[in-house]
Amino acid sequence: MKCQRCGNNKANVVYKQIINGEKTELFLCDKCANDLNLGMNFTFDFNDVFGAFFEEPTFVKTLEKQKNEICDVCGTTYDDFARTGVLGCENCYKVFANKLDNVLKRLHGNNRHVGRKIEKAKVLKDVKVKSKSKIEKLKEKLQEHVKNEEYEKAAQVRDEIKKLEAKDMERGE
Amino acid sequence: MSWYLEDGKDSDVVISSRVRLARNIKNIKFPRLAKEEELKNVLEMFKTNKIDKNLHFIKLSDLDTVMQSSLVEKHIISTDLLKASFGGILLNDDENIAIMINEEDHLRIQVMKPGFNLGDALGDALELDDKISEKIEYSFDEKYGFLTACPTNTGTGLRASVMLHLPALRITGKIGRVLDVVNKVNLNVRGVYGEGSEAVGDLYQVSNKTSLGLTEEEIVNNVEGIVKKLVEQERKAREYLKKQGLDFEDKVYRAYGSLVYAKKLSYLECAKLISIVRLGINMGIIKEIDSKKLNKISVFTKPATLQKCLKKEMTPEERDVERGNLIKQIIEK
Repeated sequence: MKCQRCGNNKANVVYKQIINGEKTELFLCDKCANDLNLGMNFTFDFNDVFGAFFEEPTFVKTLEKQKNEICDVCGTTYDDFARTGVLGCENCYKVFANKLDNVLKRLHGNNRHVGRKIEKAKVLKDVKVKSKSKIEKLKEKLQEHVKNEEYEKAAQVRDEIKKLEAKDMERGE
Repeated sequence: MSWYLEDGKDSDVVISSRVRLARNIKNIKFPRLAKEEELKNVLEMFKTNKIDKNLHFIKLSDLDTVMQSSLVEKHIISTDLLKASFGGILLNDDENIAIMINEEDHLRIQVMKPGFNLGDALGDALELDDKISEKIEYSFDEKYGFLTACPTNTGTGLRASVMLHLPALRITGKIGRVLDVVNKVNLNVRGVYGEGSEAVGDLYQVSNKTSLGLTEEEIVNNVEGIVKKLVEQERKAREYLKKQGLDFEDKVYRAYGSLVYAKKLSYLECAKLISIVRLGINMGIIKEIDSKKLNKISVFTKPATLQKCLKKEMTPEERDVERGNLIKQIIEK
């Protein structure tokens, strides 16, 4: 059998991993096993076992992805997280969002927060920013239509803008 | 009076209730990766910002090791906080509100209540949470809720736990099965101070496993529901023991005799005796001592708290003798 990683050399190391009862086997050559630190110097570490919970079921997939995934704020890699079980900063939640969605689901059976939120005032502020930017975009569109003398389209956009502004007024902004 | 000496609702079985909220401060890396300067700033934030007039700021490095260990023994702080390089506490005089600073997360807001009272503990914790969020902006995400270092706490950041005294379930051999059931309903149960399910002094802690996808109230209700069942089961087991009459009373009084008259008592033996005597008091067998005195004995005989109380450091052998003396003093008072 050929090594499943490089596809060239003969595979003589079997790497077995069991995550949540799901067994994955990977057949590797000596060189690839060494590259992945799975050879004779493979150390058994409690954190590695605990970390398996956070890893993706397919080992190969994790290897391919982890290279680009590093938090630009604290420098934590997904591999670090899988090993230690802890994240480095709030930005990690954004960087690893795709994988964390699954991790959180596995841990909690759910991945959407329904508990208390941070003060309503702050949330409203966010909404305001969003709708303002939408209005701004529409205003740019309006200018463009006027410039191109597309007056019918311009009128439609103007009505849309009025509607959004009325909404903001209702919220007391 | 310190909260841990008092009795509360269902105190015959439930020792205490606790609520913990994990919070982090926006734009500061979580403590494990934060720079020294950032951690110092977090400490300073709580030293200068008065969150609540009843809370005192304590820098952990200002306490000696006996004081630190005593706080751990009383479950006011965790051993992890002792390892933190810039740890701090906001603590009230009753010691039932303790906010740990720079542990795994920037803040761990904890409220403890005697007996079975998770509702009030949650109410107080959320009130503190509001007060803090007026002054400091938290790491919060609309989708994931409160962001924590460990994803097991993400969302509400809430851990609701109850400490139970379950000696009759152990004596009647039912404890293993009962605990298996609790573990199956998505709650954690573990022996206090003990390894795995082996609990010193028959004390067990039940808490929620998940913190995301449920509201704070739902999480507390889930824990309460199971604790109610455990209380029922323990009381049933006690009824069964009561039917043994004199044989059981003899066992209880022998434990009482050893606790009161022993000249040397190790911590472990003491904890076991306290468990049986507590059972005797709550079953109405022992009337010579009340539960408040026993609470006092239970807290002050722990190694570090004993040394703090007697204001001297001692070897384990010296402690065993002083432990016996202290018990006599408390009983005679």
